[in-house]
Amino acid sequence: MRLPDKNDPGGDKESELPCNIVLQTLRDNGVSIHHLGSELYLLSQGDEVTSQVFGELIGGLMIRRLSKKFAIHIVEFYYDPITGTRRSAN
Amino acid sequence: MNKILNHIRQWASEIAGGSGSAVHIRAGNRHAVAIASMRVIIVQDGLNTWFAQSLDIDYASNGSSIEDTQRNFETGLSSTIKAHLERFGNIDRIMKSPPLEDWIPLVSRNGDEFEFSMSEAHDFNDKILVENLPYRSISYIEPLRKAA
Repeated sequence: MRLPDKNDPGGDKESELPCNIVLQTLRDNGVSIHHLGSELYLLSQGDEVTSQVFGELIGGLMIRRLSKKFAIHIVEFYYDPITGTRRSAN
Repeated sequence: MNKILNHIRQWASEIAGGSGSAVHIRAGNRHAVAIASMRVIIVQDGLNTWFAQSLDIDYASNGSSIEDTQRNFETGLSSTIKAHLERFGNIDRIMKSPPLEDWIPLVSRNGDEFEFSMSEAHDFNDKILVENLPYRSISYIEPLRKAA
């Protein structure tokens, strides 16, 4: 079972993650992702449509925004759904 | 000349003291969007990343430095506007203030603030023409003005 940090239930203090983990988590949760070239991506699900430039790392505030926009629990980004272990940028 | 103008929408900043404004003009499949004096707050987010959130519209960006985050904001917003015009025919979903809880905590951080203006035109009748035109211009009115 995946559990968020007890001291940070909202994930507000969680930090940056590699772009590929964030994109994979979005895909796993039904977000359509179109690579528009270079580091530009179009993310869409229903009426929620946004285009973002993502470099190697994506910060915690952006991850929290994506989790709200696409109604994905923040822990989905930070914890591997199979192993339950925490993902990190390191 | 025949009258073909069929859509004009205007927005004004909802935040206290805000002077941001935007206009979207549509004539058939041709769109022109102008944004003026929108306020954006930018804060460091972790060791290697920065985050920018507009106080006037529902858009935010991420980057590896202040300058990178500003560039990403411009590029991403322009692309988002184009996507909304293609998909919805309007930018109503972008032109709304973000929820207070999204930006009030950022104000208390040690952040910077900048204003931006941009104008662009999209013609979905002739994509080749649009993609080859220098259709976008952005000017920072007060780049990196320190927040009061």
